[in-house]
Amino acid sequence: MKKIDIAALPELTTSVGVHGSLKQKEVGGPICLGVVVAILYLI
Amino acid sequence: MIPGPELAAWLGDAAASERTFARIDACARKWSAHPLIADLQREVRAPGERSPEELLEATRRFLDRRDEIDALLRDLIADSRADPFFRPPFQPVSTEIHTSLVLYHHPLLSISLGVTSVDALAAKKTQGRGAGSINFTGFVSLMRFIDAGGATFSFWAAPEITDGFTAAEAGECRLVERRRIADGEELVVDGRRESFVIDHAERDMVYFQAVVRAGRAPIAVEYDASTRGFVGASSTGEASSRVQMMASLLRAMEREDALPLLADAIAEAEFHTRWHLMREMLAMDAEFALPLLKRMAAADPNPDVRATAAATLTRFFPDDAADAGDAEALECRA
Repeated sequence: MKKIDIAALPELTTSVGVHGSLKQKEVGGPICLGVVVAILYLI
Repeated sequence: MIPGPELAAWLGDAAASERTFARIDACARKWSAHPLIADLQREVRAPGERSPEELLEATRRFLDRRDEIDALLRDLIADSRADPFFRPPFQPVSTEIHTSLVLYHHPLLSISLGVTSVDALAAKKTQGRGAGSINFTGFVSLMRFIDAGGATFSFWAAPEITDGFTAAEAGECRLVERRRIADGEELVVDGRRESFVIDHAERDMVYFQAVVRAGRAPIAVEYDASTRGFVGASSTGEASSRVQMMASLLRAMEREDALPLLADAIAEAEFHTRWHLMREMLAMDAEFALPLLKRMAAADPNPDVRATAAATLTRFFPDDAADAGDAEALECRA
């Protein structure tokens, strides 16, 4: 079984951070709601 | 923690804490059974696919029932006044400048009631961290202002974020307009190509906000507010990020038996997750991944994924890369 060292495999040139890693805070709240898994209790 | 006398008394009185929790439970039950929530739930959960426009309309019908919302909020305030340890049964969400309660949550739609603090906004803007960035969230959102706080927003546009997005082709964002927001105004921002920044406010802003996740873009994109150029991107999908994490974990655990699952996941994944899965598969069993890599190099809809797959093919499977090139040429001639 041929395995390739993961560190040797190229990344996309478009680097995409994981969900919720945005640094911008001044725009309206969609980010906050995107980041937090908001669960309304009992609903 | 050193509790104050009121908290110490409450903590030491089992009946008092039971009364508080009973009050919170009763409040949650009242909200979840209320026709306002039940009607919205029915609309959102109706069979079939929901478009962002349909979810915006459902949100408007919900927000238009202000008398019912106000009555429920009055009860919430009364409960808070009656018991200092009462907490509204809603998920609180807060950032440096926003505080809100999520009144309704479904994977396709969230509705919250929030406040943006003018003091926090001013503090943030005077911290001297430069012009900052303009974020395109990838979601459609609706804001209805109860009190717009005398705020002025700037509105921005950028090329639409699609599954074919690449950093190289991200272009620049541009200022569309700058204007004052009126009390009662409704704002719909398509975060796949539109954004806004709060430039200025005279007092706290109070507003309902709905975030529609149906039809979302695969990523959120940031542009530099000074240069207007692309700064970075991050996933809009929690599931997408979890799939990536699980794939890495399976590779670290040497679970080659999971390869068929990872191969299946590629078909449904967003572009950045497709390549993440491919890297993990190549690291687990390159021969297994090779046919998928060839297909990706030839036909993935995202140019960046296609190019990276082709480069990987050439570097690690030079013979197969040549064969793939020949097959492609033959196909073109045919």
